[in-house]
Amino acid sequence: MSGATANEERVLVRAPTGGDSLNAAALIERAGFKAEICESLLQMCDAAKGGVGALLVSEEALFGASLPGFMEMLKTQPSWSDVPIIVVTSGGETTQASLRAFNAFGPSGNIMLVERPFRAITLVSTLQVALRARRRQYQVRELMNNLENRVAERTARLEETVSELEAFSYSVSHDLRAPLRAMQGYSHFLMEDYGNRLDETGRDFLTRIINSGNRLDRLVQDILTYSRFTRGEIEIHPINLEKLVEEIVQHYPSLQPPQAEIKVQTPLVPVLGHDGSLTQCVSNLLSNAVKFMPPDRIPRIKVWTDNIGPEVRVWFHDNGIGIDPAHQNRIFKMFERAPHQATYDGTGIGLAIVHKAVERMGGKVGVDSVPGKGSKFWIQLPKA
Amino acid sequence: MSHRKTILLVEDNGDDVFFMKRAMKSAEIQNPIQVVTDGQEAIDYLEGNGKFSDRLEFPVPHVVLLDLKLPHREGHEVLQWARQQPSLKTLVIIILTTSRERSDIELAYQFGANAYLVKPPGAPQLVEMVKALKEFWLVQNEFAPVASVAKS
Repeated sequence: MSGATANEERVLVRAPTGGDSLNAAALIERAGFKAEICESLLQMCDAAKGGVGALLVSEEALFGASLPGFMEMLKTQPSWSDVPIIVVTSGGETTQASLRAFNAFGPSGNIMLVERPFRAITLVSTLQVALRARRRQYQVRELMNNLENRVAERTARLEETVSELEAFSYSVSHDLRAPLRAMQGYSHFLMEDYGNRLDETGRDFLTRIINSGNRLDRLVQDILTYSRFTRGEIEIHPINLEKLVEEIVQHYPSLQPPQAEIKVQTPLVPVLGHDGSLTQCVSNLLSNAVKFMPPDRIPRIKVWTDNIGPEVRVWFHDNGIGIDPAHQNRIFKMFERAPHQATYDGTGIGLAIVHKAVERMGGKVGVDSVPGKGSKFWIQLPKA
Repeated sequence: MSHRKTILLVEDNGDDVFFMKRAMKSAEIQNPIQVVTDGQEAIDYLEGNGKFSDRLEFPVPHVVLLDLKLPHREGHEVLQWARQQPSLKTLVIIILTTSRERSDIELAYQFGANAYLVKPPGAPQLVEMVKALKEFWLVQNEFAPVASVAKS
């Protein structure tokens, strides 16, 4: 099944004289094809829009002001279409006119030359080949349409599944938190109200329950944050990075002296991003930077921006424990942590959140690090 | 005669009610606290329907702490309904929920919530939040005159 309409099987005929056109058309009709005579190249272009199997044009007709329009029509065909053109030439010696006609279509023109005087059977067989090729094109069109429909259908189904999964993971995490908060609350009250009636070991057990509860809660909250960044639309605006970093540092005592020194090399180049997402990224990166420190070292973090073409790279350079190159690619994935970081508190989701959020803002994220010599994390976003 | 302003807590989770009451005690909030456990009950209370018709026992609240995920009618629905009632337009309604979803927050403010608070993870943090809530809404804040008219 080619799915071709009657118009798509017709041969459009353009000859310089009405008599020639009539003769050719009669010949075509006699052979069982459908022919339609066009008064000009322009009319041929118009007719072709309604469907065409092949074009039959005499070389004398391929001149004049409407030729560029004709060529344009051929060039702007849909990807499946390459309409066959049969050019009737004057025959005998290769004339300038024949050459010009031939060259006009360029090396990739789908043309066949039939020389005058031709026998009827020559033209019919040429047309037969042309229309056969054209039907193949219709089949390609059909296949492409089917394929597109199938892709659209499957994409829709996939999107549905993904959003169901996201909604599922959200509600699971959400429902996990309710009993967890109850456990946290009551274990806290148990310590508060009855702690003095327990011995050292009892209190130690209770403390462990509380700490594990807190850790599980952070984990669930981080998963929720992550899942929030995978859903919903975000709006991109210019962001004053300097102000954003300053506000984050002011918000967390752990980022301020004497606990840490954060040096911002002003000016920071403004970026395009989403305020909430970028705040999340920067605070995750800064809190990581101060967290992964040898016990006796004061965190010193340097923040600056570099222009990289139309983008800005924001650097966060710490003096912490650093990351083994073998693990540098993994740390941005969910639950992945460099092994020696097990002694440090964290859920292994913070950088996955950064990765996801930056990705959603159309940016990139990465790290340069030498173990023992600190890490240089960066995020790259379009310039504001 | 007591002009202690009533707080209405709309919360379906019994543990959360317990935690909230305990945190309010720690924060030394002396205002009477009424609790309803689903959205429909919240509407009935605010309207003074059925068992809530006795306004001496169930006074019109000055502050509503409203959870979002509720049985029967969700918190957003209660909020939207309240803002359509002339007598409840100026009632202080504070969302108190576990949801940090953008859409939940957005919708709450669209429907006219006065504030949006996320239930903190631990008991000490909850006490801190309730203390802040008390200082702002019960000590510093002036209530709209309509709210006191609604008392009658």
